[in-house]
Amino acid sequence: MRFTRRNEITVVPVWIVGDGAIAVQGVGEGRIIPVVILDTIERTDIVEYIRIHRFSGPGDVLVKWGEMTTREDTVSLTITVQRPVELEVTIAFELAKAHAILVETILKSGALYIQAGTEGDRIGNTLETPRVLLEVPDTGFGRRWEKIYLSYARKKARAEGADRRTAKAVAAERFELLKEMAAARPFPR
Amino acid sequence: MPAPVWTSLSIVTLSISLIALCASLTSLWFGWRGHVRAEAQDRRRKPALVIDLLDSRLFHMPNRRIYCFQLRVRNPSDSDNAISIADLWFLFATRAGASLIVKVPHADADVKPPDLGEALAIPSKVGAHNVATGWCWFELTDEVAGDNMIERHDLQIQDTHGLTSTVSARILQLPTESHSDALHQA
Repeated sequence: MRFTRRNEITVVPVWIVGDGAIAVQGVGEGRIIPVVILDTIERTDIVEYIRIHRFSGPGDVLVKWGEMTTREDTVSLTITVQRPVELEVTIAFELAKAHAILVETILKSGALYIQAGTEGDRIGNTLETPRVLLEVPDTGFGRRWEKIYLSYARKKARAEGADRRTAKAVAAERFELLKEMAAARPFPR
Repeated sequence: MPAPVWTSLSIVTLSISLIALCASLTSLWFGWRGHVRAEAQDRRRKPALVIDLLDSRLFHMPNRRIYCFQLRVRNPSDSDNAISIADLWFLFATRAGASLIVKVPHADADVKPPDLGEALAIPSKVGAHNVATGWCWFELTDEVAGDNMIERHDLQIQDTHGLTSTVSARILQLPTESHSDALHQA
């Protein structure tokens, strides 16, 4: 029997206003790495961090996955930057806004690009905007993530009119498809 | 009621009990003293580094500033230790009113201002009950500083056990003219 400890903390999350993916030969073994554009209107410290990171050497971060208790179907990633600045950012991934592919891709590639922005920004029209590549190591969240996604996908299938058995099958199928998309590697080794 | 009869046996028993009580109290006292000594020895063995700031300088260069600190790093414990990392922490106040801590690592030897004095090697070993002294320097480029205001800066040393010691440097001396000339020539 396995016991897991829940640590509840109160944070103010940073929301994603745009997303995309980048694959660069030689980075992350050619895998697709997701890019999230964060709403930094009220977080100018994140903007400064991204700016300073261009001129300093590699930094250190700690990461922690979590689930938001005050918002349904939302997963959080808390990034504690230790070097070159001290900063904490909690990014909220809302499954209802199709952020599941972002979570799965982060878990697969072990990395994430963060970029500062505002509502309306898109990767396509902000290619020159500086961004920071963060390593997100495996913390064992994968198993919990599968349960969260399957529960969400089942709920969604039931809301679309499927019965319980069909909803379970559809959820499993959607999760397989998600894993397939996240595992794409445009640049073979 | 008849008076108690003190037989020779009861007197002997009482005496032996009193002697035993004294012996156990003495043993308790020595045991406690031994425990206090053992705790003091344990405390002395705990790793620790203490920083003393001896001198500081600030050099203004084109597009950068070099902060120099002369340190004395003491190891008061019975265990060997080593300086693993030295960082200069800046507290920036951004134009938007946010605060941000930026950590600048110890700079390379090619950035060292001339005529500064002996360098403090980082990383370096500081043996038990030993001292290491020398200068360390940190380069803050205008690119990193941006248009933020520096509210304060603290120097932090981390040892191999992850323990940190911090010292604040408020007043930095500007170099003398001879130092400035040497820098411009360099």
